[in-house]
Amino acid sequence: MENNIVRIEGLSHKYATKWAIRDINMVIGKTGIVGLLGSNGAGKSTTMNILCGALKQTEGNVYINGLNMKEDPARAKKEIGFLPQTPPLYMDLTVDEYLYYCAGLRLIPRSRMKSAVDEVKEQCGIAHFSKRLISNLSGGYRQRVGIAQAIVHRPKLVVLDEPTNGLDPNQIVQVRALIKEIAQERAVIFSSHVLTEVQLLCKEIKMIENGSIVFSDTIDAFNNYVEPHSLVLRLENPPAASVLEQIEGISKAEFLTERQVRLFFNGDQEVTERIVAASVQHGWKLRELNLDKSALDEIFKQLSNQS
Amino acid sequence: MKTIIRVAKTELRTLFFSPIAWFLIIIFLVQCAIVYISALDMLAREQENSGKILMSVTSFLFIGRTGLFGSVMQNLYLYMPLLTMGLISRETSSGTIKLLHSSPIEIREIVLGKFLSMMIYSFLLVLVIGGFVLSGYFHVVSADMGMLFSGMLGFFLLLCAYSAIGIFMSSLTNYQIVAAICTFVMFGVLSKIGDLWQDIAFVRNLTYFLSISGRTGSMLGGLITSKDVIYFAAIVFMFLGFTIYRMMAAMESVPFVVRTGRYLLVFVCTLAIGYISSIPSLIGYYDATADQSRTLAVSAQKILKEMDEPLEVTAYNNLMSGLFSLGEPKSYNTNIQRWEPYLRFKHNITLNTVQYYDTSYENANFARYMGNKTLEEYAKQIADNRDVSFQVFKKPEEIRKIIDLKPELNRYVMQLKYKGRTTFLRVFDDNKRWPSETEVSAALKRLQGARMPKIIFLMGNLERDINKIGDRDYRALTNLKTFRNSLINQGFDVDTLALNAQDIPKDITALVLADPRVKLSGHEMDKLGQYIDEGGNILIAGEPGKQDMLNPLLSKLGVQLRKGILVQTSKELQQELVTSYLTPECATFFPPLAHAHHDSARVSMPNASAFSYADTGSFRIFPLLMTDPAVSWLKKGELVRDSAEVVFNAADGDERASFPTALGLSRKINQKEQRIVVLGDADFMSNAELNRFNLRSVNFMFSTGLFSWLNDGEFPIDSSRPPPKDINVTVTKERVKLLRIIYIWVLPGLLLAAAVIVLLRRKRK
Repeated sequence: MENNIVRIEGLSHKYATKWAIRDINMVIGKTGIVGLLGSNGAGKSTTMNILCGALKQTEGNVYINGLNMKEDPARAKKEIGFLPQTPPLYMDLTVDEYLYYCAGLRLIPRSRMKSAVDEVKEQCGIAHFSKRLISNLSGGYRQRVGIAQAIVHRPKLVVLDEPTNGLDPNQIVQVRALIKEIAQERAVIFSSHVLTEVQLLCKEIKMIENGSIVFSDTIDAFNNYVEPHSLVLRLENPPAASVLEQIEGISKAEFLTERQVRLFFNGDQEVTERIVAASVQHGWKLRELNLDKSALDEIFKQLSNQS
Repeated sequence: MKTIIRVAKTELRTLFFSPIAWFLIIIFLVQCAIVYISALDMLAREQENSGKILMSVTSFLFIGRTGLFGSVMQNLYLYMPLLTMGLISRETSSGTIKLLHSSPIEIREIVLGKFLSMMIYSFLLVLVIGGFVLSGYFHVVSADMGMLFSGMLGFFLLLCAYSAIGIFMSSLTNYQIVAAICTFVMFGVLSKIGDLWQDIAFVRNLTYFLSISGRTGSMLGGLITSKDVIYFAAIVFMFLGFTIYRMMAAMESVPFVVRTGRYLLVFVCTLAIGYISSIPSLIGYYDATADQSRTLAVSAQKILKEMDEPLEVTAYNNLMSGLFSLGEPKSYNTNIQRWEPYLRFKHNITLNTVQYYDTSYENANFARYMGNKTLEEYAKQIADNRDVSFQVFKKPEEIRKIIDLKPELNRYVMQLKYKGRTTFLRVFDDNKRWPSETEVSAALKRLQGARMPKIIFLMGNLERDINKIGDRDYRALTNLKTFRNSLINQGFDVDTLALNAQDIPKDITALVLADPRVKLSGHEMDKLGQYIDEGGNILIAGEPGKQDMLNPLLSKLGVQLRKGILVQTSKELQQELVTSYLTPECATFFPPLAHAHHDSARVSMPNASAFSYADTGSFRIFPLLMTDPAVSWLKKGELVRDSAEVVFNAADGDERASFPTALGLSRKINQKEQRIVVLGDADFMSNAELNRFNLRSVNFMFSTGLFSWLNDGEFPIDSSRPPPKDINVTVTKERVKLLRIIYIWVLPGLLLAAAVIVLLRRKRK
């Protein structure tokens, strides 16, 4: 038995003539949430589909709990729960019918089926909708049903492909909480193109760009990359740019509007205090101060260039 | 297996919680009900009108074009695509396919599960049909249930094949409607493919095997063959195989060659299965009909069983003949199919066709059509016109070296070869065209070297001539090759003999003395007398006005032709045309005559005389034909043959009674039964009378029956089936009216209500 739930070696996949992903290697531990970050079309879904056996790779190997997906797909798939980008729901079935069907597909023995389904409904907060047709559920609940099917067989690995996509902020919060809960006893791989979401949920992050892994480390290490390099101030009574540039640590000031100014700094966190002090001292009337984190695209660009 | 059932269950759940499955079953039920009830209504009215139905009621109700299976099959192809179109395309378009792919199950199980759900739905449709079959069991007296169960099996297998095709088409596209249309197209392709490339030697077997048309036909008729059942299984295998590989291809990127190779592998396997299943010795047959009507008659089976060595059938096909299409290269498979009933009992029959061109002697205008072209030029023109390669045809000089076909008019003929013996098997100028079991059996019997019955027609005293085609002569009856019922095509040998110059051979079956114009000489009378005394069979036919020619001979038999002529009043026909009825004893001569007697059929005799007889001699004498005294009498006075109505005139000696116009005589002599037929008319079997069209008469059957009796029933070989038993319905037309309401309105209505309740309750969840 190895310590990792997932080991991916030299994974490449080609659609027709175009490589969607190229030589991906990664290892994922037994618990916790791993974020798979990437812009649209970067290869996240392809990787996840291959990981779950919904797609067969052109090259490379995927090991789930030590089992090669290519050689022993049936056993490997037993360890996986997958929620694709569009939840795989049968709209004409009720929640119960659907979950029992999924439990069956995951080869849960008949004797354990009822308890498994009941448990997962409870966990996902859909027990009161058991008899409801899935087509009559709201988007958030449909997503919960989707998540429920992915964990009904208590897999060691749950793969969620953009699970919060298309949900309203309230629903997003609920789903995130659910994911956190799920991750307590198993590994969750979770993809998103929303940076904050990944930062909120994951302990580890893998970044994919143009079909290759461009970053793979803990979230703390990642945060170093996305450290703020500029501040945006709103001042009722702004001084000239040159005055602002004299503050220690500020390399450049740039007016966005008459009262809004962007200050570039070197990463020294204490610069904020100095700005506030200067504002009080000179009566600039500071109304707003925001750390302007690097835009995701910027980071992707940055990381791609580094790798 | 559990997964397969699970997938099927979910599929059925989706089907039945959507209106389409209900809707189709209800439509199907209504359609069946309309067809069944209208057919039943017709039968009930017919039975009330005429008291009897002259056909198999089971066939009419269920099998024929207007029958339940017949008409439902015609639009069955409309149902399945509507059900199958979403099976896989729905999963791919909604993304649920990923759920299946990421689950620890095989693609095979998914596909089989989907197919199983369709099998179950098909079974429901079969149950609907089964309901009507059950009704048929109660509504028809001794319904042919075997045939109906066989039909239901055929129906089910067809549905299964359609389902497999539908599943495959559904896997090809994300759009359900495209899948449905593709499925329709595939049904069309499969039903027409059997006609494709039938003139290309190797390809025709493949396309013919793949053809779905006619496959259920034989099962509907009650004949289940392993070949057909395997065909459906192979089609299901092929399309499910395609589906599995298609779904695999959708989730992996493999080279084009590999993908194509997989499809090809499945296709080749299917063809191999088809090829093996079509080998005659490997085909199993089960005739489910009550009277084994889909199996060769027992007599023919017996003949085939006695033939242990291979039988070679070589068809000679003349490009220039009007019958060319019978043997043209593209009718190869159709011809094999014609031989299938025989191949069932004798596997080692080889079929060949020799194509040639030569003058067509059946076409009177041949020379005119040819104009001033040479035969070769004309043949090339025809070959070109028929889109066949001229190279395949042997030249006249080549074919003449192989065989002389001129006596066969250079038209399509099959030469059968067995143990070095050969005989011709002909096709005929009638609606059926192809030789029936009777003619084939006769030809096979001849090949076995059996002694064929020989009928000698006496000549020399201006009797009727068997080689002339005039109205009063006997060519059609005896040796018109293109005529099915001619004696030579029924297994008889015919010949002529002049009594004054030749002796009567010992090995003949019967003599025929038909209407001599002059009196027989003493020498001839002696010969005939001796022949009869020694127990020879003979048929003697006289004519009014010439009673004196035959009465001396007839008196030896205790029979006399009476003076006068039989007349019959009729508003439409001439007065000297008498239509005589068959007697029950005559009906025993030949099985088809029994049907004719049952139908009160008549034998037409223009100019007939009546018999008187004394049953006191050594012969047992019994009438074969009797006149109807209500309309006919024996006119003694002069008959004026004009438009005036004939009048009964007692003063002239006219006699009104039922007169015999044909008698049978038999006695035991020399350890055998001697059989003699005497007739008061020689026209009844003349060329003209056998072609009478203005009256439904059974002259052919009667004359054939006479010769059958004369050779002790050995020929013609009887291949008739017993009359159907299921000729009555148990319902009246009033009852049908009630059934109409129940079947067409109440039952579908109940089903509709059930559907509405289920769907509404579901929708509210």
